[in-house]
Amino acid sequence: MADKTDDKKRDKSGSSDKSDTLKLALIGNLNVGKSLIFNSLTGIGVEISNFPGTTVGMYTGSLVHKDKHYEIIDFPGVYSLDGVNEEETEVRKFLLEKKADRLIAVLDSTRLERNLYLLLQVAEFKIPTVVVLNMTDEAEKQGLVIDGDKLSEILGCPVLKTAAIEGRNIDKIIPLAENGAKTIDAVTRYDDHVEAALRSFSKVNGSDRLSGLLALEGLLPDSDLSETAGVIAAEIEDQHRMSVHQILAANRHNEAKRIKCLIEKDEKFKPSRNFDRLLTRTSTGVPIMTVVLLTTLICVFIIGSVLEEAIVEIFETFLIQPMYALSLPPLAENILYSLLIAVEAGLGIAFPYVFVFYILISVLEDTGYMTRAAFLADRAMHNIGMHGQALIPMVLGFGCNVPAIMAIKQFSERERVIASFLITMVPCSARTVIIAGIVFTFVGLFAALSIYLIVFVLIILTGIVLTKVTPGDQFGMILEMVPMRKPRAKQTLTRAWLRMKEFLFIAMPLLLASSVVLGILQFFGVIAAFQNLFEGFMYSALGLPDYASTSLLFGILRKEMAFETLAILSGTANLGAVMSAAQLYIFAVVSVLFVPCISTIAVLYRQMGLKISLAVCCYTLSLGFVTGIILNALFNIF
Amino acid sequence: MEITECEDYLEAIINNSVEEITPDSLKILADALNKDVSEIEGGLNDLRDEGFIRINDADAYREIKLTHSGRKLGECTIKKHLVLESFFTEILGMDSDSASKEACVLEHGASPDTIKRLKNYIRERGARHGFHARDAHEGHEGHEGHMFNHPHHRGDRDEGMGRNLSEFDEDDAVKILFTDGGSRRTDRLCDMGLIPGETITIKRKLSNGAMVVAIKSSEVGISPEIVRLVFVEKV
Repeated sequence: MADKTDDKKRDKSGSSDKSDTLKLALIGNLNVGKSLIFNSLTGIGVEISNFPGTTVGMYTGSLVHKDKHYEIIDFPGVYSLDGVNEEETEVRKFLLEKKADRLIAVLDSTRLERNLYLLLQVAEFKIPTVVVLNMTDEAEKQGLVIDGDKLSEILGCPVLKTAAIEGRNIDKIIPLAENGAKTIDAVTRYDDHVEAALRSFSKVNGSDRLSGLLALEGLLPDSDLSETAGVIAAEIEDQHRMSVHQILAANRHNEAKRIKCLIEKDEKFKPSRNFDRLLTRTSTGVPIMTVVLLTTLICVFIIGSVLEEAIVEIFETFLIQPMYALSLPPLAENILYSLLIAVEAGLGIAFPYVFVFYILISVLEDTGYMTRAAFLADRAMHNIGMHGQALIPMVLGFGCNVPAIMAIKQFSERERVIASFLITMVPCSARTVIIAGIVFTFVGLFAALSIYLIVFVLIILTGIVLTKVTPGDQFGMILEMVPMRKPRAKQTLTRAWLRMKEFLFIAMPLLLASSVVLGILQFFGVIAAFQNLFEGFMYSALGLPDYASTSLLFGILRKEMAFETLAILSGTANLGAVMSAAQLYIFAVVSVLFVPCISTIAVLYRQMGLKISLAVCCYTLSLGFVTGIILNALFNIF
Repeated sequence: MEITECEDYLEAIINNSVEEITPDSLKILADALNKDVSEIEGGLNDLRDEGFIRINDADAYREIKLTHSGRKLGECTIKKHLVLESFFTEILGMDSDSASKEACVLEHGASPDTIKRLKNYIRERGARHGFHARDAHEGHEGHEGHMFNHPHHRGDRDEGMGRNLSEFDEDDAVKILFTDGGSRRTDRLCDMGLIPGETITIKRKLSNGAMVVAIKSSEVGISPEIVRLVFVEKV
């Protein structure tokens, strides 16, 4: 027996390595604990990639279980598979191309009906599936009794009850996916006309049920079916005065409700608690939101600066000074120094500021507060051309613009254009370092806060103008309110760590490379030449010393490098000694406003194309210089 | 060539996406029309003479293009066919093969008015029986709402058919009648479960009209411009 299986294995691996790796994909609604399951399964070896040719992210990880290799894919959370937004389109394409061998459908036990709706669609793709009923701990607390066996019987595929937060049954997912996964038998019966159309498609074109459905919804533009389907769909829509999507959605919801009634007992929907009510009422919610967001920012400031100081201290004592003690040849020393300083700057910004920020944001998301804040913020955001959901990327932008820009992809085209401009203006933690390191340290707290004020006013003005000039309709907000939950350390840290990785993957390599380039350029005197070129302008228009222009240039590579470079080029960390308060203030304002960092530009380019990223760069560049020139003029007068 | 024969040809051309004259495509058309291959080419020439298609003789293969009137006639015939077929299968309970054959014959004689009435009849009857019969487990009153939306014309909606969701206040429970968002605008609402026939409760209404509504054991925040697309009645 054992020999036989071994032979089989060898045969398989002989023919192709890939065939030995089973591809498992996690699919589910937003906020069902998918990421936590993914992380518990894969541990830390996670890769962050995009669906080919898009900016829609997916996480992949691999694991070995009993000598077998598995690749696990975590899809972005979706509400349906026949939607037209980018995530839904990409997940659908992925499934249609049969790129996943098994599906692990994660359902939230406390919101079964809505989750079953997606599952019924997943069933139509006929991929072997394991259904995971997650959050059973929450469901038990709410007094919901769910009959998993019955569900398994109805669907014809295995059902596993889990509580990812407690780690309950998570270890059973992989064995079950490997051996037990089955395609779901349950079929949603649609409206008579839809069924008649599907029958005639299968007769005339020999197409399967799934392609028929997708064609009716106009989601298979290139198939032979599309033309006939278009005519029939128009006919059906005319008869029902509903879109095909609505008809299918209604049928699926009915089916989901039917299944739910069969398997769930004692459903007592708990209305939102009083505490929750306070959060969404304007009179109480807005002050709470202001306090929460400000506290978050202040915490990041304080914790960040303490941690950063410690990191810098460690680097200076244990790495940089010993390196000088080695007395290497000048060029090597220069490059090594640039590398070390980049790692120092990277770690100094990434962990103290970005990571702390991500942890706090994850707490806000996990408690469910973020969606309430987004709901309340909708009105204000409306004025600057976006809806409430844009609050999340905007606030994320305070950590780093890169993930914030990544988060705008589910918006409409118009909102993405507006968000591109506004988010790149949000003072990210790197810019906070400039404000804190230069203005707060050498000028004072109120001067530092006034820079924020200037930036916010400019963001609002820009938003108001863009709302008027950007083409397209303002699309409304439809946002699920995540139930209020007590945050759990494990889940929060998992979420923060996943984000952190995304940040490290994108930002760190660029930071290292650019720092080395800076070191080499400086060594060969290119920087001195550059300085001479802009010296006149920098001095007459902005009142800044010559080396400030170089610092600003390197601010494009990474914002906080403007500060680092300024310290290096001026020859002292005590900037107060070489520049006046007005100069430091202007330097900070210009570098905070002007051109986003190179990583942000790169992400913008991927997301929005050349035109928009160029426009954003030109706009912020001129905004930075114009504001600097005005400030300089004002300081000269008073 | 008789007009009925033209209709059969056009139907076969559209259904089989025939775009050029090749031995293969002639064979496909011959099978679809139940004729001999040798007759087909002549038939296509007649069709060209009637002005329903254009044949491009210049190419090595001969490309066929439907003219405007050809496409119109063909699609109209296909529509008639589908309505008749669905009448035979859904209402008369015939098996689909003979329904299709029967429809092939009758589609030529039926006037547009007959087809329209037949279509309406299928719809009305479907609303009353078809859907209920199959989804009897549900048995809710709201069912016709679910499936067939409201039976009135879009233009009638001001005449007392449903009120805008924005007119209601906190703690009101209302039943959704229809949403009016164009094709794709309210897809997300549907996915969230806000479909016609569903009852929702307004949990929160802000002064600008934004709402939080309870639906299917979850809560959904909706901004004012979306709220205005939802038409409901009080329960």
